[in-house]
Amino acid sequence: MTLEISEEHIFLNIYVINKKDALKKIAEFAETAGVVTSKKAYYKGLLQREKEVTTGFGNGFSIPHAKLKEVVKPAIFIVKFTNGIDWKALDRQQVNVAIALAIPERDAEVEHLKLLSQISRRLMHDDFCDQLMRSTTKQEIIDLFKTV
Amino acid sequence: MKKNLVAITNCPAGIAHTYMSAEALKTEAERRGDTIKVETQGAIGIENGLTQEDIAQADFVIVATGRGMSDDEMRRFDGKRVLMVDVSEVLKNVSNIMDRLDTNIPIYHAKDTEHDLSSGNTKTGAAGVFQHLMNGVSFMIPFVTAAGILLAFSAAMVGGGKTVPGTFPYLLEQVGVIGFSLMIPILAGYTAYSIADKPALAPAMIGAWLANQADILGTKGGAGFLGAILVGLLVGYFVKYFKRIKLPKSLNPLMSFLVIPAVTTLLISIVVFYVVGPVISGLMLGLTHFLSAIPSSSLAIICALIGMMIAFDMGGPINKTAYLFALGLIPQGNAYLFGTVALATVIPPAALGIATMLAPKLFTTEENTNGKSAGIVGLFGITEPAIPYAVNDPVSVISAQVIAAGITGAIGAMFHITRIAPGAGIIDPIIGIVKPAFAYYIILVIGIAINVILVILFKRIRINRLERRHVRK
Repeated sequence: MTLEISEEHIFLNIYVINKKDALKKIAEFAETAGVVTSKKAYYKGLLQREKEVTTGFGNGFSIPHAKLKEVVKPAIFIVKFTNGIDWKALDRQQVNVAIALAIPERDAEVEHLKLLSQISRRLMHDDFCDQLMRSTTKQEIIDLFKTV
Repeated sequence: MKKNLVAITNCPAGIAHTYMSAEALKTEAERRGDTIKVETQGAIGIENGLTQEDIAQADFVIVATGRGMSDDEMRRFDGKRVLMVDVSEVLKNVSNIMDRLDTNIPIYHAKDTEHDLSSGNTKTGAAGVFQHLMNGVSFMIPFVTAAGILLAFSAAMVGGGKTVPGTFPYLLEQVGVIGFSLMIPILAGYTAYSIADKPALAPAMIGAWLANQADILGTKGGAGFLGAILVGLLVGYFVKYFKRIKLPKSLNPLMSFLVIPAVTTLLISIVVFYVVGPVISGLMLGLTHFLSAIPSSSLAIICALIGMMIAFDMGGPINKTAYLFALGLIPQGNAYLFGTVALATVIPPAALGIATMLAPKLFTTEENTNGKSAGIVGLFGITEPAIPYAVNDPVSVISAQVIAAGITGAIGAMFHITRIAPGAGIIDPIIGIVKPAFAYYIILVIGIAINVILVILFKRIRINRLERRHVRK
């Protein structure tokens, strides 16, 4: 089973001023896409997760995520920012790309969760990250994720 | 020097850091030429679970946790060199973590539970009880499976007749019987162990063994698996509270290894001998009188009852009563009841075997793995393989087979199914002890089908109810 990332889940050239702003924007995208019932709850969840441990794991990437009952179905959002953001990342570098995950509380569709976990794994591979960083169009990103 | 590593990764949400750190560890280990197996404890459940063997062969254990690990979870690493790190540290600098393995890593010691008087399973209520029983069943299943297969082979070799002492089929048969005898104290023992750890093991095993010694108790049958469950739970919870008695620390070993086991064994033996024994006797006597009182003209009714009793406690007092009653009528010219027995002993395990193939999601992994062998062994008239399923989910499993066996008994009576001697399930018509052959097989299939449908239905209902309760929390 492959993960079909739709265009509505990819956002390029997004301008935000800081991490909180970025998370707010992501929450908005999630609500508009019908993935969460409340952008406020999702934002709070994402923020909470960041407080526990930063999701900026290095090389300009972050993987903000939250597991809430307000999440209707598991989903992934890819957001590329126009500028680098201070994400308090593990390598202290700025973040240019956020791969946001929305996870339902009731463990639905194990297959979807499995795919999300596979994506997490791929993010640890340099070639995948390089290609993601270099992608400039939505189609390139869709094609890249098809390889997961 | 090549290292053999095992690792655990987990984090609160279980979807990102868990897998990223697992991947990081794998990549780094491979780069260094070490071998590693990483168990991920994420939202989709445990992947790549570490077996006892994996852990035993490992030089080091890396625990990269984001949500913490309980003492129970850490117990399997007792005696190993464990490096505990935060999961984000792995992502930050996995190379540094691997370097640390060259320094002096302390050996992990699990909390000494026999000396820890406040330990015990944390789940409460009915859910907790089933967890303990499942533990007992988990240890019991290999006994049932191995013994059942050997018995089935033995029965096949002698065509359902008697084995001759000293021959190979005789050996298989006797070993099978030994296995079935052992499974009862194992069920009780490990149920009790799950509740209250080592001090409860011996009293429960001894008590359950005693509860099945008809000659010692002076009854016509043992307490069966229901008795084992009773003993296991009684002993387990008794010891759990017994352990809470506060004594000076120096007396702890004495308590755990001497006082608690000895006192508990004494008490459970008294309970079994003076209470359980007489209850069994009374029950068997009462049921026999009841059966005798039913006019022989209502053959369908009495056969339905026999079927239900056989399927109810599989090897226990009620089953034994029905079996002996049916057997005793043969010299008097009534082989119909024993014909019901021929049907009712095959149906439960065969149905469960088929059910695990049709609806594996309703069963545990062990139940599924053992399903086929349970079914095949069951076809030889050996009912015991159904017992583990009954313990794990008594309401669904037992009611399904009781209803199916009852209906089958009635139908069997209408078609005058008879069996004139103890045999071995489906080969009975072939060796001539069950007639009419064709009707027997048809009715057997019907009975199994009813049982399969009911078991799946009842299990679905139960799982739906449990899920609704879980969501509401």
